[in-house]
Amino acid sequence: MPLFSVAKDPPTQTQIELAAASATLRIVEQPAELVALIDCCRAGDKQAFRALFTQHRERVARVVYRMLGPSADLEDLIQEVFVQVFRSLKDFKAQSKFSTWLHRVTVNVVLMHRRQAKSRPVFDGLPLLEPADDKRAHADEEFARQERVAAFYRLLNRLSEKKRTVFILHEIEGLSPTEIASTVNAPALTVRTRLFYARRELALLLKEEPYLAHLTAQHFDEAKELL
Amino acid sequence: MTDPSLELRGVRKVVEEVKAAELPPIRWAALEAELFSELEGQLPAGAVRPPKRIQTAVLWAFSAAAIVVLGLVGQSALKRAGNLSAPVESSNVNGRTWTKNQMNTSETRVGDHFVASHSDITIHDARLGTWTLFLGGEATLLQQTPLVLQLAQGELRAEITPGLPPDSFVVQAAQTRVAVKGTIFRVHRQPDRIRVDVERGTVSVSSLGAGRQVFELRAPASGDFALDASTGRVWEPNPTEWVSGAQAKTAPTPTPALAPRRVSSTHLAPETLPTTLSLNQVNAGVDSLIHIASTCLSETLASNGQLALTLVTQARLSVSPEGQLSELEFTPPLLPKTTECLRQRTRSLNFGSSQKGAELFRRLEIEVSPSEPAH
Repeated sequence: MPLFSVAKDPPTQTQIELAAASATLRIVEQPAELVALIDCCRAGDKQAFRALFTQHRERVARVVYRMLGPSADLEDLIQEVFVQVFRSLKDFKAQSKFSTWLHRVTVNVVLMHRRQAKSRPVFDGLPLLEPADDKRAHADEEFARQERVAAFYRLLNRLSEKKRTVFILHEIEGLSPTEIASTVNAPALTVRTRLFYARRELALLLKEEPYLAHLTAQHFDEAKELL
Repeated sequence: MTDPSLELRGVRKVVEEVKAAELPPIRWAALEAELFSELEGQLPAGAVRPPKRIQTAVLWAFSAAAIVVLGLVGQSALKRAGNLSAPVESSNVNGRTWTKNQMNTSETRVGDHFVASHSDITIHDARLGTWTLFLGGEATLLQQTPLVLQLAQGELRAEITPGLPPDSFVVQAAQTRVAVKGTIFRVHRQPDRIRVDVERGTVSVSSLGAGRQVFELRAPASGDFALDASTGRVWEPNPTEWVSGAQAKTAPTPTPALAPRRVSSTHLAPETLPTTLSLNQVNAGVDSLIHIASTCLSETLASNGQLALTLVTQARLSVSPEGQLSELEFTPPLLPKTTECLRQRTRSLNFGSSQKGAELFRRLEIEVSPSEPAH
């Protein structure tokens, strides 16, 4: 989904409820190989689960990384996702694609982890006090890129948990508001509202991070040139 | 005032970078070993779970029974029953994966994979000596005689019996080959380079490819090498310098274990190794900086009573290619006395070497604890 695309007319609440109701009744056909693999896993076959792990680990890792940002907990959470998958496979009713179900499990594990982490005091590299010189070039571009990504996650961490979640799921993971609504158990309209405020807050916060402030300045310069 | 849509474009740009960001290196083998070790204790996924209260009671009863069974039947029967609470051998696609911490070479065979997921793994060989794969490391046995190990990640230390023929123990890490005579040495595979420390004897470091260049390190010595050993730097303890081709540079603090003796180096390449700084090293450096700042502030503010306080400031750090702090600025600034104290004490800090160095910005929260009054 393109970023910040102009949304079509949002579906009405009745339409969403109807879609949700039909979704609960629908059985999505899965590839035969995957069905066999899942059946073996449900029967407790460790080798089958090892195969499932190997097939899906990269995808899970990517979702965890995007949800969490640079973190030392990445590997622990990937492991936790697969422990949850192992425990919950019996609940997989094929009402969605396996990959969608796996994505949902992954997101929930990360959200749970973040909720638990909130009770622990951590230093998360909060925003800097004053923007530094925007034009200063970083000597090491790859390192600077890593820093920009880390700085962006610092900004994301300043949003409320609800806004942060919908922003990542929509803008980075590419989920539609309806899909996010079913994941976070909120109406799609609420998801859109959170998304709107998340974007606006991020845009305002951007200039407070020296690693990112130049982005706004750069676009401002580009706009001036056009004028 | 800036148009908000421009700022949204800024967000869009960084979102694209986040989407394009590559995953950090993940220790899949270790993760898999840990996961399946944990799953061994789980119920089969298809089994119906009893209600939690009953489940707890059953768990206690089962635990008590398991203790009795353990005492009666012994460890071998336990393995047959599939209870893998202690790390032991588990199956692997290309052979076997070992995670237990003490082994003998007679137990191993070519293709075996060693994953130090729970603790260090130490392998004893009556003829060769001992090698240890440190926690978090992964290695594969490629050949028995001469012994060739492929170090996939982490750190390995080998203590090889003196007097053996050259190249009787070889460690390969990425495209780098580290071959030893009787010696004690460490090889640390990092994401972008290979670090070799020689405590005793001699090792040669070369590229696995054709036309290989050989670096020779005589103890005590350390070297940093590109993943293919095409370039490298060897530490000369006396005088305290890193030698990189004809260009000598100031060295980071030498490893304490290394006594000041000259290392002979051959074929030193002109380029330094990592293109980027390691975030872990940078974070470790920033942690040390915070600690030093806390000490300096405690000393500076010693006369100001017994209050504990937290000071928040933004630091700009310029890191030289050698990894040392070339500039340090605080906003808001610290007291001149404190700043001077910091400048003096951060000289030995190292943030890791890179080709161009970097400029860092960090918000520091410095906790100052009350000092004992001086008598």
